[in-house]
Amino acid sequence: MKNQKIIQLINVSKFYATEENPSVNRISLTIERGECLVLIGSSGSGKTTLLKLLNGLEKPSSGSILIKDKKIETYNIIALRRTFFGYVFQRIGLFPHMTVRENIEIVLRLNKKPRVFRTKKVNELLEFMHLNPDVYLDRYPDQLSGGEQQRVGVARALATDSECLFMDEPFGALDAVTRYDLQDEILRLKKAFKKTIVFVTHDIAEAFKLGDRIAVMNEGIIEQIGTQAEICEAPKTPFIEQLVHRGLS
Amino acid sequence: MLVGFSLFLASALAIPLGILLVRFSFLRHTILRAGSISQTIPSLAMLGFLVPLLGLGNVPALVVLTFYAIYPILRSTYTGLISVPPECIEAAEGLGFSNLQKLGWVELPLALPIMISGLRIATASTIGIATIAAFIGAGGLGDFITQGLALNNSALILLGAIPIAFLALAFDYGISQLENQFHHRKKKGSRSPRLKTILLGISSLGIVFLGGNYLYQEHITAKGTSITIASKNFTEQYILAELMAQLIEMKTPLKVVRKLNLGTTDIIHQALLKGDVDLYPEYSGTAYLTILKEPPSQSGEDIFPKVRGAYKDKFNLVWLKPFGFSNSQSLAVKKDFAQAHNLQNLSDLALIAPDLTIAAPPEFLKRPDGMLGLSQSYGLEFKNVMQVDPNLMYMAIDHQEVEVIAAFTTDGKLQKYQLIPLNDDKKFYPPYHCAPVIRATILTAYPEIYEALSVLFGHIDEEKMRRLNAKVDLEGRTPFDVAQEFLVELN
Repeated sequence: MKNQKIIQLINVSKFYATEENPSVNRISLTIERGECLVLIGSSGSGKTTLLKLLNGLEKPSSGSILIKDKKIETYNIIALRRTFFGYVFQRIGLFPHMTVRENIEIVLRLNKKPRVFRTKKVNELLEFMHLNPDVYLDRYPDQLSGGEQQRVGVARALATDSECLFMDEPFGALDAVTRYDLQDEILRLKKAFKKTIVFVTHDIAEAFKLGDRIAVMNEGIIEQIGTQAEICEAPKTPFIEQLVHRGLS
Repeated sequence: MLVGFSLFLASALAIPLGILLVRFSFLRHTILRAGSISQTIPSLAMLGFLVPLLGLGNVPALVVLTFYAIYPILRSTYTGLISVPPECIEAAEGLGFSNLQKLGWVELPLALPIMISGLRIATASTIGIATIAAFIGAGGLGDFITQGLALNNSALILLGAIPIAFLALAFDYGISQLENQFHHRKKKGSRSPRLKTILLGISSLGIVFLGGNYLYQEHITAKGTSITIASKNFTEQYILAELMAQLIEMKTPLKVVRKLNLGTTDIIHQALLKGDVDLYPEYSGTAYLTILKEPPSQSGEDIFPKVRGAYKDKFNLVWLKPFGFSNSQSLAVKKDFAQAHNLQNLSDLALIAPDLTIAAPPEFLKRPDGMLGLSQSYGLEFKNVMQVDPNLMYMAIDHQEVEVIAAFTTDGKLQKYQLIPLNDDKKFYPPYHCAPVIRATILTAYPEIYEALSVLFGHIDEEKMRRLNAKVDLEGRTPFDVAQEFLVELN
């Protein structure tokens, strides 16, 4: 299992017409099955763009992305998103006109899964995320706290049993206690489902807590990639040294 | 129901267009701007424009109502869609919704409250405009209002206006209920079936109505023995049309379809050429100046033979024999006002006109044989000109808001409001002999019509016509009764 490449980036760059410097600049990166890779960097360092490239929401300007050794373009990207990637969004993005149940089961509905299957799945996931289904199933997002909303957001991303889970600063807007609890859920989830997780954050403590490996991004490039120990003991650049000692301000 | 169907049609056009505008930016501003300009076109002008193309009745009315309903729905669809929270769109894309699924599951449901507010605006304005559709014979409650105005009968106006107000309220209530379906959270599963029921109900009602109406029209025309009689929207025309209708019904086996209350001369003339109308009373002077567009002659010669010849050659329309009166136009003032200023002729009026305000119907103000020609001929210059409905004109002079009004010499209301028409001393107006105008093909096919109407020819002089007009305008009788009574009297 170890060392099996699930996603590979080869020399990937992304330019936006409106910006002078590339958002993502010739990045090569291998993500292995079952690991949790944390992308950390300040705002504008290109980490969200990188995540969107992985999920096909953006197309690389140059370079190529391989999913299980095949180019991402060879897949039906919409099907890929529905079955292979789960996505947890920074702004949560629950649909306000749908109940908790409808939000979680929506992708299963798009995949035409039968109702019985969906109901079972939704209940399991709510239980797993420590939300009592009897209480929460028919609530609407605006009747939930921020933490509860993101628990639903995570449950929605898990619904398809996808191999990968992409999380884009999912706990950035939550208070410290709630964030701490949810980080524990992620560790638990990783253990329980053996998911490959790509997690974007700008909180170094969060990165160290969750990441098997941490990739530090700055101005579109990955300055260093390695375990917590490697990064703490041998920071490659002054930026990383500052990050380790003082966090991002 | 015309309202319901046109809203349905407008939604069917505007909602997809709104969606396209959000997706494709290149025509967005042009279309939205064109839409807002479209709202400024007067609906009556629009109706008049469509009659030559589409004829009378429901079709042009539907087109106009749909036309005016499109923009509010289009605008609100567009606004609703662009105000969908970006995080929801991001989430939908990230989770693997196709474009169509994103639209159906996320964007449209979230845009719906705003779209429905647009629909409410469209509904209110459509109900308003629908009353005007009566002018082109689309019928409906607007008929009561326009006839009520024409006959100076406030009960009739209320008979139209009150149900229309209720209709507007009912529609608004219906739509707000529809809106609630989305605002108030329903228990699972109950939402879409109810929505479907409502939409199904609305559309099936629309179809039933249209179908029924179509069958009804078919039923009328299928007999092949019906003739359509029209009138303009004032008392004298109603009475004359009634007289002709009742005579034909009495003396021939033909069925009569009455399209009374048809707006302006132009609208009727176009309808006649299209074959939507077969017969109506017209005045030689009006035909000469408005339809044939001859310059005012000022000689006082009888233009009747000229008009008759030109109608036959140009339009294949036949002028039957005149009824016997001439309803000339003139300007009228209050009797005591005339005495105080020593007014008898229009020339006298020209001297003091710069201090006076005149009220006249829009048609009079624009016609060459109306205000334009009169003011040239007599050098009339008024302080102020008010454009009003012919029937509100009398209210205006009675309440002394104006001193002068345009008037017809056979008008029964002259007597009621103590008005006298001023003498056309320069003979600006040609004689306005009134006679039935009929399509030649109809006359050939049913020569008995001539026979039936012949008792009227030469038997209604000005005095009689004024009396008939007064019976409707002053005594509040219906044109139908007055016509019936007169026919009995003739026999």
